[in-house]
Amino acid sequence: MITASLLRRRSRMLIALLSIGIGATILAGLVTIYVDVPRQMGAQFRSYGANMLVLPQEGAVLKRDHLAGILENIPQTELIGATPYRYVRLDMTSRQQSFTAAGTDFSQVPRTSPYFSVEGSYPDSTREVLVGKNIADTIGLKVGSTMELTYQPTASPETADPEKSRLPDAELAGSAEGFGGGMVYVSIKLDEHSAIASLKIDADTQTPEYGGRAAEDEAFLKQFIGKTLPLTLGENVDALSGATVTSEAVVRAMNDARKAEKTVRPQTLNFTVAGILTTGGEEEDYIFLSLEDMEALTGSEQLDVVELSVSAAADQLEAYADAISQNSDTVRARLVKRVTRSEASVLEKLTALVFLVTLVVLLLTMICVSTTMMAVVSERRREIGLRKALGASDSSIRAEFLGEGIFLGLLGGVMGGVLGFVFAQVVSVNVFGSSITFQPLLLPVAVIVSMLIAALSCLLPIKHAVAIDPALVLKGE
Amino acid sequence: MLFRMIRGVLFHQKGKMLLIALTIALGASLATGMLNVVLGVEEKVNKELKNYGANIVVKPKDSSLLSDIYDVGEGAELNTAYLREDELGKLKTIFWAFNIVDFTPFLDTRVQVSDNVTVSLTGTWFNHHLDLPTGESLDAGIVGMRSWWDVTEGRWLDEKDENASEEIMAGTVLAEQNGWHAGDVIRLKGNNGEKDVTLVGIYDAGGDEDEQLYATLDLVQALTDRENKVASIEVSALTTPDNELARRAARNPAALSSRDYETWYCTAYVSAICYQIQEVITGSVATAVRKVAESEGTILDKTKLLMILITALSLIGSALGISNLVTASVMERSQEIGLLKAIGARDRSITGVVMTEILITALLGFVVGYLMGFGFAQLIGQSVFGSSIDMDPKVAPIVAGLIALVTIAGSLPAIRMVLRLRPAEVLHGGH
Amino acid sequence: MSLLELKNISKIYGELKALDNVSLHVDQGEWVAIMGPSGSGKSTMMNIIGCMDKPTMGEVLLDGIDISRESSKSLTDIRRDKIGLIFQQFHMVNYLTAVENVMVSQYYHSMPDEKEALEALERVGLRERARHLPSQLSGGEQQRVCVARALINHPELILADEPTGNLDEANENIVLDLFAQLHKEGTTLIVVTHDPEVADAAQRTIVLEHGKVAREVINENFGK
Repeated sequence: MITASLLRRRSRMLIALLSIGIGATILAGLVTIYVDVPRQMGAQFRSYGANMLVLPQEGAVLKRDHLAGILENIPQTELIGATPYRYVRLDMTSRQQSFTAAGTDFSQVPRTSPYFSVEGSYPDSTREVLVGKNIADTIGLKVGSTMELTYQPTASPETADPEKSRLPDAELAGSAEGFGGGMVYVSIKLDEHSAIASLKIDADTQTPEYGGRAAEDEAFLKQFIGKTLPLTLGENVDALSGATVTSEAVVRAMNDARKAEKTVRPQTLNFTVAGILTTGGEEEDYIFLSLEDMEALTGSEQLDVVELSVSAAADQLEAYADAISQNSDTVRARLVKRVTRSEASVLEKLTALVFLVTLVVLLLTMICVSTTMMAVVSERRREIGLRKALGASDSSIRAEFLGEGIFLGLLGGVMGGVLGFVFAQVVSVNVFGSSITFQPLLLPVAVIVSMLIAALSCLLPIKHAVAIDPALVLKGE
Repeated sequence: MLFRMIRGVLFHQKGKMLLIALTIALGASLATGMLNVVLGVEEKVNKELKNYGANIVVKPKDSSLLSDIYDVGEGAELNTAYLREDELGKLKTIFWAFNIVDFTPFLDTRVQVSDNVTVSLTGTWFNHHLDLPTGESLDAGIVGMRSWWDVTEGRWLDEKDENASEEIMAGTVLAEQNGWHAGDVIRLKGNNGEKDVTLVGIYDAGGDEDEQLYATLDLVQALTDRENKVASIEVSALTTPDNELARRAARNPAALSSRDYETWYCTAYVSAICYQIQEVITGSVATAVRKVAESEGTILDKTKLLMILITALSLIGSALGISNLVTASVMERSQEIGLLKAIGARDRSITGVVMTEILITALLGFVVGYLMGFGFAQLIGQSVFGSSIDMDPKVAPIVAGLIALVTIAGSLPAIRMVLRLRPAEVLHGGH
Repeated sequence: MSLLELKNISKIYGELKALDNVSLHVDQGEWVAIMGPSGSGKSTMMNIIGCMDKPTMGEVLLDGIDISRESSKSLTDIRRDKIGLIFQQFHMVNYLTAVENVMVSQYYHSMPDEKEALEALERVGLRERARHLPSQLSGGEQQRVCVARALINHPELILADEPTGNLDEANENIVLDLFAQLHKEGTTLIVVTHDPEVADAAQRTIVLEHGKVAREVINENFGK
């Protein structure tokens, strides 16, 4: 049969333990969440898309093979995606329209532009395109429609001046209108003195018996070797007999030759619409194709920009950008201010919010634990009085009760530490869909704090109780 | 007599009752503070997210694509459809007018700034003052909507200046290429004429705009002979994250049942606001800028969920803490309860008295706690967001109810248990 | 006429027999003392008579009603109506004043009546201390308040457990005089004590040893 006092004692212990346990759970849970929130929330902000751009430096060429080296500067775990882009204008001659086309790597696009909404699907085989909604609506394209796209090579601004292109060992390409309106194409290789080392002529559009021979006629070709540009027909070189117009075109083409692209011809390819893109932004005015198709059209592996989505704090991002810029002569990296700036400001507020909330909740809970402990210990005044009357010394009583309090703190701290971590994990998985980072220091800290609070809150009531005259306590209520 | 007993407890057992009241006050303040924060945080974070810029873009329904087969660059105006500038104020008259935080019109053209250098010139609002028919007034423009722009030289263009229409701002890359500095006078050659303007400021946008020029809407309209016309409008609105209903409605509002339609229309979904904008701006089509709108939705949802879970934890913690303490205090009164029973009091009567005493204490604790909770909520609101959090009136009854529930749950079983004990054990067990 | 009758009462805790087949009776208006050393079972008997505990075996007839079979609830009622309890520990409600402590007993019986309560306090000589809290009263005064509380409802039977155990001689005499008065008025008194002097004040003493009735002693000198 349980007597009232035994019942009281056991439940008293339980009550104290429960109180400390709750406090420790809240401590462990909230602190773990607070420590991890910046990383977790930060990852959410990647939904805004790329936050870093890698661009070629002045005069340099960025190619796909450079990517691997660039990306070494960023830890794998933090690199969400790296999407290369090449922008050119492509013509849809059948509709008299011209668009901006972007060559890219579709496996990376969803990672750096998660907000893309695609009706249909991303292109996954060659000669497939993703068309922006504006274009699709204007032209009347649907998933499955086919179209022809033509790439017209144009001189790029840096090599707008043919003179600038005549560098040692350069490869040049030029074109000019020849007989009958057809284009004549030349490609030239220069030697170390910027004189012509070799050349190739494409005169397919010219009359085969006359101008067309320009490509094969050895005498005609040989006269160019060793000469420096510009040339004048009749002075430095002679025309091919019977093909003056063509020869003029050849010379003009050579004088106008600039840095060579792989092909100098317009390329037309057939494409099928794999998907239509909605974003509410400028992407709806673009056509997207794979880099391989872009290369097939333009003959070049050049890239204009690589968009990166990196999950890291603002200052870390800057460090990566600096590292990339310094470790390479061909590229420089810069942050997308719109994304990083806003992210920093919002994330800062969110972190502050969680911090303050954690602080307030912890404070209140700790006070609560203290009051409960105090109540529980005060209740044992009588017992303490009795012991004193029986001869126990003040210090031994203090030691015993303090010891009990600390032990409860230990037990409660362990329970709470574990439960708190479980809670933090539940939150992390349900809110962010990922696991929380394990904090090895958490359990010891929770235990120590619990023991400390338990001990401190015992001190006051024990001090009071010990000071009371035992006779008074024993006499009655 | 009952009254005397209650009074006796409250006045002569002050210490013990105060402890209970304090604990309940702490629990109540926690619950009040957290609940108000949870209810108010969504709006606050939403406002912060406006930093990212517009989440809605409004274009003329029949705007064609801006190019033909040749390189764009001849200054040819290829937009044939426009929106009306004088209708812009109507944005603040839609059902969700309150949620429209900022908006800005755009009208672009190409101008020559020197031989062979043609750049894009965009006319827009910077800090355009609007006095609305509702009596409100606001300053709208890119000063608010391009929060990430840094003015590296000079200053922002101020529309309040009388010379505002003779001024421009240039991007940092463009300025460097041409060796411009703040204060320079630059000649712009458009399709419709020339104009000399003063460069008042150079900005670093961290994007394409760094190679462009920005000026007032008036300037560009005059330069291109397009009075009262704008090519697009960017709108920054506070929205509610999308759900299934919103997505269905976005595809086709006409397909909704009338009840669903009303729910959708009266909730600040992006699609609803877009729809309402289309209703007031003639010939427009408004769409969500997915990059911003989608992300906002995600972040808002997650922030809210996170706060809710933290609140739940703290509520459970306080509830357990309070009920714990109340149980302890009842156990402590077991001798007194046993005595009353020995004197001849009925169980129900004793229960009634003790419960009443505890509930009165709880009430006291709740009132104090509610005020403290108000303080906490404001502390959090001011420190984090620099604004106060509104106290939701429904929080008070909720917290009061919870406290009552927890207090009863903590005391009733304990009282019952003590009453079940034989008075003999209780009274003599203390020996 | 028998007010209280114990028939073959045993109270067994596992191996321990606190009361072993005890039988006794108390007539209406009698003043009986129950004496015995500690461990003799007198407290247990007190609890059983006072309806605060039930015997393991046997019958307890109070005023003809077998209270050993009654439910806890009706025991409370019986206790309230018929018995006035005085404990060794001065169990007072420590947040109520002296008069309020007396009124509590009235409250559960019929109706609190401050005037009557003050009169009861007057009877035990504590009228002036009516508004004092227990913490402000001496041991003796507290015990006297408990006596006042016990008799406020004019119970048939007054059951006192070591009523003077913790009192000094002066206070002890006050209490015993009060008992004598009550006895004259016809109240039945059962006083449990280990003090022979207190037992001698009664008409008859029942001595318990090891849970059994050892002997009964009639007080020849009663009333003198």
